[in-house]
Amino acid sequence: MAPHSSNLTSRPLIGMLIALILLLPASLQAADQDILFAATPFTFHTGPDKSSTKAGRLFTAARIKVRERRPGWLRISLNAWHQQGAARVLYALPGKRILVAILKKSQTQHLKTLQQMTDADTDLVWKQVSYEAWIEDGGFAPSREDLWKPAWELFSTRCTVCHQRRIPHHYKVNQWRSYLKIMGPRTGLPKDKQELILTFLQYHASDMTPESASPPQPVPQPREAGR
Amino acid sequence: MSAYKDYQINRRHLLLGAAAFGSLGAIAPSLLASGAAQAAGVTGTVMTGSHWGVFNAAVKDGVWSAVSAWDKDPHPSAQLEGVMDSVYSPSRIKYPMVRKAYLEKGPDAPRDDRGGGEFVRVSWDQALKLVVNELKRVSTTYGPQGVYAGSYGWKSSGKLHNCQSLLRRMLNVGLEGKFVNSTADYSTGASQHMMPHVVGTLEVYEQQTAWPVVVESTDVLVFWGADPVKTNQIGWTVADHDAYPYMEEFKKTGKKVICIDPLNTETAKFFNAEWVPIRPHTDVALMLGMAHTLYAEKLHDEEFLDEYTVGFDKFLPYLTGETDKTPKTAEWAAEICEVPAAQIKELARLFKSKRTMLASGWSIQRQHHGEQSHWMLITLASMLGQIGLPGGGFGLSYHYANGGAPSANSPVLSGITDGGKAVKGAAWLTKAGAATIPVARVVDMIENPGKEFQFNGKTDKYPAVKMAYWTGGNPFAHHQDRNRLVKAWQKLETVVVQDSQWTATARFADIVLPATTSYERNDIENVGDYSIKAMVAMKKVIDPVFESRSDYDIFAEISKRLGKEKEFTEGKSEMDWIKSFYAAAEKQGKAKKIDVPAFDDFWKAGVAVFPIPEKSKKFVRHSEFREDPLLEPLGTPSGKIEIYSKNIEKMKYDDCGPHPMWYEPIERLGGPGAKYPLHIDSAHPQSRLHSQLCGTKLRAGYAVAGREPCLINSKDAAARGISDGDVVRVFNDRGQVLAGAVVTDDVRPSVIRLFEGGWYDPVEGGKAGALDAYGDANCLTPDIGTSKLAQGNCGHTGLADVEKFTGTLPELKVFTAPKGA
Repeated sequence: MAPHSSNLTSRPLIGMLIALILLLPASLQAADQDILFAATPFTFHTGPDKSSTKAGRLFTAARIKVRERRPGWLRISLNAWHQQGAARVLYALPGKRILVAILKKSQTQHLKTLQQMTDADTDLVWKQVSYEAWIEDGGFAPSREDLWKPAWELFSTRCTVCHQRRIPHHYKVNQWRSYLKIMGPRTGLPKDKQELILTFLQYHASDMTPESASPPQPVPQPREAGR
Repeated sequence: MSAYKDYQINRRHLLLGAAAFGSLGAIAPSLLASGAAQAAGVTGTVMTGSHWGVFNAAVKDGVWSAVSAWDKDPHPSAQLEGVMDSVYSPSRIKYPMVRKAYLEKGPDAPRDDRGGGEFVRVSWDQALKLVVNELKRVSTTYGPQGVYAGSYGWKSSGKLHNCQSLLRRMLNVGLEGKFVNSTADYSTGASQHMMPHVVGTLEVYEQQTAWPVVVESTDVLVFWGADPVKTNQIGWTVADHDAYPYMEEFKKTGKKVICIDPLNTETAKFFNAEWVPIRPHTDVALMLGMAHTLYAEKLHDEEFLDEYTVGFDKFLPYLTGETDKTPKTAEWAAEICEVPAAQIKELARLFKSKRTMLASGWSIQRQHHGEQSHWMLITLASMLGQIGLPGGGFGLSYHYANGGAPSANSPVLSGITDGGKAVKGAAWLTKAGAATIPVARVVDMIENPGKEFQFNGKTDKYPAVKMAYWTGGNPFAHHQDRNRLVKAWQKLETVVVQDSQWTATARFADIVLPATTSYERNDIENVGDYSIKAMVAMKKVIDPVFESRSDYDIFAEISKRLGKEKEFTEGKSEMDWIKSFYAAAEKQGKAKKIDVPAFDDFWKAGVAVFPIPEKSKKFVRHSEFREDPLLEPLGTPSGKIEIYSKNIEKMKYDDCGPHPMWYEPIERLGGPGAKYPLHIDSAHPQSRLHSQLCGTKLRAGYAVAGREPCLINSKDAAARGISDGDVVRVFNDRGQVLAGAVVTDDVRPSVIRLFEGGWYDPVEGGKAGALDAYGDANCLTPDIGTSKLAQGNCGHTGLADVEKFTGTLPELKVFTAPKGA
């Protein structure tokens, strides 16, 4: 029995979606050079031009697909989730607040709804949407694993200065977000580095599937089944 | 009037202290001479810092001779005299020492005299050889879980000589990370695990609505089991004391302050507060009574509950008694908490009608079922509907490290890391057992290797630990049920303690390594845990006394002997590290456009102070969430305050259900089957930092007949024929301690107060059940987890009785070095 299956069976829809989104075979990811992961934060633009309107912000570790390439610019698309009534804030998974993007209010009209679901635990309605925008080329990783290496380095050096090491899978995705809101600034790191640590911890949280974490060594192993 | 009541050290006490010092004969003068010899002729003033604040140390001929507060400290702590005395006190560890039996027979030596036997002085070389050989032997023989290095406690301030990080650094680089760690702490064990489920974050270590906002907007300020006037003396980094001027300001407004506490606290007296002398351990019942009143009188804020919380509808049937036939009325609560029903109702109405800040301390969560206390407090605050408004809501850190003092725009110093980034397959990743345990379950772990334990939704197994290395902490003070600890400790094959003081823990070690105090080495630290208003150069005041060495040097040497010196030191000296931390701060300064002086200028000046922006003075906790709960959701599954938690429901714990509830603790006043008549209030001390400085001359300012003071109500004292100043025996089934009676009505009837942190001084060292001659409160408290969820400690649970002690008074031994040392 797969770890976390008890969580997932009670929410078959989420389970299915996680499988769809995150269990893409690594070979497929590697083969598809248009699937990339943001290694730094990006600014969305409405056109391939710095003077075009800024449309919002893309966050580290977000998964994007390249739709069109122009010199120095990429037109990208992404799929993400937002809570009903808060379309500006896009997350990687329904109910799990891993930031993918924050959009300007005016941009929400360009979101295409793919599907919606109700989280049985919270009764919150989540919508999966797709969004397209232009960003400047450069600063991508072919997989999240490439990002976890520097993230691990930051976490293991900056987050053991004031307290004992915390274990990533001892906390939940949403809890890590709140912790880093407080603890992040105490590291004295620039904001994008704090966000990288946060994303790393969220992808290794207790309520993420091991497959979604796909850690390099040394990082925490997936939890044992039944724990 | 008892000596306890006078916190100021008067001349007479100083003389008494000096006499005690002198009675050690040859030892005392040689100590002073040692300092002088190593820093001959050095005279002047050095600014440095500590948990008690920034201060100036006057040095004469290489000896620290006087201490005075920093002129920018708004409220210097009276404990500074003790800080200085800790360097020269008779309880100072001077040389590497080994327990006699252990030196002779090694780990096979009988362990039943650990804590009672003689020590033998050895050379540093011999001591370190023993330590290194044991680390190797234990990890080779027993695998990665043989060594426990979850060493916990209030280590000294400083970003480099962080002995606990250095210990783990040494084990990470030198022993491939083969050690068992601990998680969380003894202060906030229950709430730091419960709050994330309720509000998605820690709360207990986070900035509070800023004091200027409280002064301006709060109408009713409630301190619920909190005594900030006492506890804000200290800080985890270097205390700023910035809350004090604001507390003065609040006092001047004449607005209402209410203290809900079994004691008329320093804070209650300072504010001339209304004292609600609640029966201890019943706070959840009182909160439920208030909540019921609000609901019954339709005073609860339905709009707030609807917009910002989930699960009130599932909590309500419990509140009204629909689910258990027990409506949690004010009358029901009054029976339990001994606050009259009429007053409960009045308080509820008052909180609703005025802007009210519910500022809670941590005592009410260091109790059996302590998870419920702040959950229920937040439920009550949600019903009042003022969370996120200026001066309203709740706060769980006003009493800690000057929470609510506005934050400066300043760089944050980094510090020495635990070296874990280099470790492959570190012990904490192994699957054989828990590589980290909830810190307060350490004795349960030692006693029960392989036993399953529950923790916050997970089941894990205790590792089989055979050796402990403790530094920067005193478990023989902070851990509960001393006699259980004494027995469990005998299961360990080897115990290493590295400290500057002969604490009880050091006496229960096999190998004792003398560390310097902060004042015998250089370091650097931020000032103000929440204000972060300055960086202070923690300059060396004097050279190390006797053979003590800095924590950095000790662990660098052990790493060298493990063949990993370069990995440990990265080729850096003490000053190299300090400069590197500073350089990182300078870099932040540039990014944040803060003026940070060059290192040399900073080091010369001793301190760099940063401005506090107006914005910080207007900070309102949870205001962003209140403004837009969708864009600024909390870190809970729902993004809202969870009065009902599905995550907790799924854990199916019998001792922590899915919404806040009143649970009967194992024992309490008026509880079913209460065996003893008095509750032990083991609050944080007035004139120590937990157990730190108990060995100093400060003790003369509060000890009664040489013992830890025990406050007792005049009625309870009269019933037992106890007079002020008597030596009393406090006892229950778990233990017995001597203490000095202070008869006062500042403590409510049926409650005694024995501050935690009194040094454990068993008449027969190492023998479980021995009479403690000084008054360690944790001889009497139970060693159980708060619940399966948080597994926090229950230091504020416990009943006992008191009798006048008429036997022969045992001598105090814990304040001088043990035999052979």
